[in-house]
Amino acid sequence: MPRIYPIGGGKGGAGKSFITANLGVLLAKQGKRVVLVDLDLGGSNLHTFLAHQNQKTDLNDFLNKTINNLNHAALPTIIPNLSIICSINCSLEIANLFHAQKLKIIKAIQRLPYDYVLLDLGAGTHFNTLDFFLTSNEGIFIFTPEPTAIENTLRFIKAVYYRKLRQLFKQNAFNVIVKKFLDRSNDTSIKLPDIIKFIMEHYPKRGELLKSRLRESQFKLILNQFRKQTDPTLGVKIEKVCNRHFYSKFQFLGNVSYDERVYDSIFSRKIYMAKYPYTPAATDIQFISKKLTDISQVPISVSSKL
Amino acid sequence: MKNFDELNNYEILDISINASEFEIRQAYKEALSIYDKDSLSTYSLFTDEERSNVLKKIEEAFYTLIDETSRADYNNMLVKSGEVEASRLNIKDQRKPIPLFRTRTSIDESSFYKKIKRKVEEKEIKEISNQILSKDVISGKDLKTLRESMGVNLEEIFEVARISISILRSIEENETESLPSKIYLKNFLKLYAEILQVDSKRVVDGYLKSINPS
Repeated sequence: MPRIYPIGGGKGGAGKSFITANLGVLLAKQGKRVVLVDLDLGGSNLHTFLAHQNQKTDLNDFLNKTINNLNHAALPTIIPNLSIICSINCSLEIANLFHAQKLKIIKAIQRLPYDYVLLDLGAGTHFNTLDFFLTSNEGIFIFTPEPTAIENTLRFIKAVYYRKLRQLFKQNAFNVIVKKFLDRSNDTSIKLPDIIKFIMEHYPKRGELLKSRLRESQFKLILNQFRKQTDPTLGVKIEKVCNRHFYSKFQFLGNVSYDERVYDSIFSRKIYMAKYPYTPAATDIQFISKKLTDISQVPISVSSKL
Repeated sequence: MKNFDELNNYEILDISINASEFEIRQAYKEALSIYDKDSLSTYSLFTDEERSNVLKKIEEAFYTLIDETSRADYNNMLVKSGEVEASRLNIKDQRKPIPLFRTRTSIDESSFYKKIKRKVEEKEIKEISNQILSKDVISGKDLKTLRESMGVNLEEIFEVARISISILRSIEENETESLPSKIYLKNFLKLYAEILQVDSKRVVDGYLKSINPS
């Protein structure tokens, strides 16, 4: 079972694809077998960050059953050990994926024969994005130090968290309790925090189960486009706040410095990590990749019971 | 979302139960920097109502803990409710901030002058001072012997005259390079001599000769 890191984070342009591509390069350089999956359906451009030209097979062939093993859609890149599954040939309506197709993709991803699978997700809080993000319990949130990005990321974190909660409700037969709660409150707008409170108060045992399941999630945070004038403790502060106010765990992995050369590398269609391996941003990502490979804890997959 | 409902005041500020006053203030500042409505790190995470509740709790925690009596009451309450074991409460474990400047408690001037007056009248010291003052050239070393014979240290002179210790030291070591300009030096010497209750005119003249032999 591969180690899956979904990479998301609410806002567009925060650097999700950039981090995915370069983190993938570094993990591959450490000798791990890595595959990147572009799940930004309808807005895919992960291949551009990798200077990848050959897009003969991709996710679309898997969805329309031309190939029946997702691994066959993985194409080798110019970096040894690094493969990519593109989604560029998918139909224009692909963004509105059917539920069954989504489950099919998630199941296939969990069976990919690699050490690391990095999922590049799109912006926004669409159910598909959230469910892809919850493929593993170790999702990585990318955000930048602007109010708009933080707003979107915190919203995304909340959306992921409550999506997870809904999954847990479904998996552990909380229907009865939720129904009771709905009967009690005449308020038509249901608020999930209130349901949690209700469960904790009236069903402490079930509450404990819920807490322990939520605690299995170990989300990670990366602050991208870090500039000189940014508060250097911002990432740590957000980690602290999230750990205090959510039942899941959050770990801040580090800052990635802002670098104009990122644009250069995109314009010249070169891999940033290969063109500028010793820039501050590159060393920052290196540091993060080391941190990821050092984590020895065994990942717990959010099984296929979606 | 978890709120602060189940946390005690120490947990709200994220400090140990034996935190010092300084640590409490630091933690309060830190908490405000996170939960303030202008803070970037919690931007849009809370509704206005949630935020004001959280801030109210932080404020409450701070004002309870910063006041010694209310903190003691609160600690007693925690012990009684069984949340905290009494053995963990230990004021001695509190870390105190290290003062930047170790200020000596200032000396009592009147008793200091009385002490010198008594010394000056002693026979031995009279001899020493007469011997030094009778010299044409008075060096820093002479001043130092005089001072030390009276049992006065540099810090005490600093306390009374507010002449910095480094200057006093360079006067006594005859370090002409680091001495202040002549007009200051004259006054310093005058003060110095007056404190030791010897003839200040003689000291100034004699000392100036020692650094300016011409």
